[in-house]
Amino acid sequence: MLVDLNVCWPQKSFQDPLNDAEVDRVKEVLSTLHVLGYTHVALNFTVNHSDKFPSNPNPMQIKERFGELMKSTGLKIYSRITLVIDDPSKGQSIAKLSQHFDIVAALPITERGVSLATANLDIDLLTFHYNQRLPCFLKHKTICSTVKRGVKLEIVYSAALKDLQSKRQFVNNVRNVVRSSRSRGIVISSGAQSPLECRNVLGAASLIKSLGLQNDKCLQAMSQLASLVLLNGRLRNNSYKQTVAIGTNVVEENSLGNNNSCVKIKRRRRPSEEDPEEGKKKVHK
Amino acid sequence: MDRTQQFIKECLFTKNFEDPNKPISDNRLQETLLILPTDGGVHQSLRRNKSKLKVTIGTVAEADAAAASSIKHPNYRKITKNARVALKDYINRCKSSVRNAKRIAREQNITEKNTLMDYLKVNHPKVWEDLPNFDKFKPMHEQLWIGYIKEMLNIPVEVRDTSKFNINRSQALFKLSMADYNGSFLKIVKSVNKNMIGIEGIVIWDSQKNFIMMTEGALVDEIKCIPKKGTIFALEIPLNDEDALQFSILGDRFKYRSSDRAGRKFKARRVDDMLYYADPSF
Repeated sequence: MLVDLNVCWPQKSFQDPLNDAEVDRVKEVLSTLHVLGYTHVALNFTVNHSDKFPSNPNPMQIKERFGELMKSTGLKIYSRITLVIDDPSKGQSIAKLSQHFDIVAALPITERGVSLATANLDIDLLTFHYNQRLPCFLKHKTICSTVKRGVKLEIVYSAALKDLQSKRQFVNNVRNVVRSSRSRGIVISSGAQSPLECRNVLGAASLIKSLGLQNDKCLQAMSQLASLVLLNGRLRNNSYKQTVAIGTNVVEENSLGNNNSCVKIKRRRRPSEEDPEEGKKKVHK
Repeated sequence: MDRTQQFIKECLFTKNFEDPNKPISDNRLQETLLILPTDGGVHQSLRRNKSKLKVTIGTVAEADAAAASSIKHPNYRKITKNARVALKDYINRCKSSVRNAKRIAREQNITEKNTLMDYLKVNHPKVWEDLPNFDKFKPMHEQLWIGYIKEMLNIPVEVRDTSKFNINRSQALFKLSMADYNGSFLKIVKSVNKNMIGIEGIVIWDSQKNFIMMTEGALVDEIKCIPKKGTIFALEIPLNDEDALQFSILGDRFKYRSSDRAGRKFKARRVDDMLYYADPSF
């Protein structure tokens, strides 16, 4: 299983209008990723933490817009929200927000934002602007404790495919992130806005490998660790504190979304409890 | 001179003892100091039990009052220990008889359950007696547990139209996290140990780290102890003949006894140990 946790959603804020051309572009990116072998993709919606959240913050309507694509290619599409944390005092509670998205990520741009996101925000992913300077020097202690808590660090390689300045910054930032996390809990994703920015596993892994992350960790970062992020995010909404979950496979079963009051209803394996033998035979036919 | 000694001897001892000079006779001393071998208190406890068994209106009222005043049994520790030993003994006996039955089936080339049962009944009555029986435990699930869980989740006994049926998701999950699973029908859907996937059965005991399940086999029914660690269990709550609610228990986060689980505050933790759940190729 190959996972890309970051495909850019064209809207920049909750109020932004969305036109069909942009949705088609996202579809192109998704089908390119499918060709490159990805099986699970998350659409990333980036907003400011201080923006006012509407009652239904998820604008994606994945089932309506991408249902056909998912059926024809077998791709699994998830929703992700990234909160740009500027001033923690202006931020709001993210508990309500996290019900509507599969994954919640934080993107701090100030030092106070970093300390908030690493210490006590209930998130799945920690990411940075890789084409700009990091908000502050990342310490081993804060980053490692965050990783130990279960939050993963994200490296977005789209910055490496742009102009010279952002390339230079990308190299610097990735080396900083790898150093501060002691190469634990790192997830690699594309951040693609157009099909040309997608890379397959080997392309992305060789790029990050040259920046100091071991080869096996590079491959893990796109499959196993990324799927753990998905699992963590899905369990937050679809289970009670990771004890009892809805359905049999939280990650694969793509349903629910915004409908908060409904539990999955499924046809039973055995039509009648009294004569199980007969029921089994019916299933086999 | 000590006047008190005099007073005690003359006024008190003369009234109570035959010989005021010697209040305690030698004879009596000897009798009480005899040391006899004991039977470890069994005799005494038996006698106490016997007296308890004699039921009169007075004793019943007394017992009720005692039960009301203290829910804890006086020697509950001993009782739980005995119960555990008995359960362990039962499981071991079942396992050995299942092993024997399978061996006999192989030797006699029997592949049908009914013929094997008939054969064992005639030729090996002892093995047949000890074999666990899935059908015996069925009422525990159908009549007991389903009713209990439906009552707990506020599901009506018979739901006609499932499309209209709605249930509060988070509340149902919260209640399920502290429900009792003795008697539930569980199926293993994912596990670190791939050989365990697909096993299904009725839980007869929910211990801290295992589910002890009664499984229905093609040849003989078996008791299986399934470790909770590294296993995902699926359970279904039937609404009517066709539809059911489906949930899954994450065994890694469920490693508490049911009595401890009821009042417990669960916490979401790092999911690195549940990679087998997320990754289909694991």
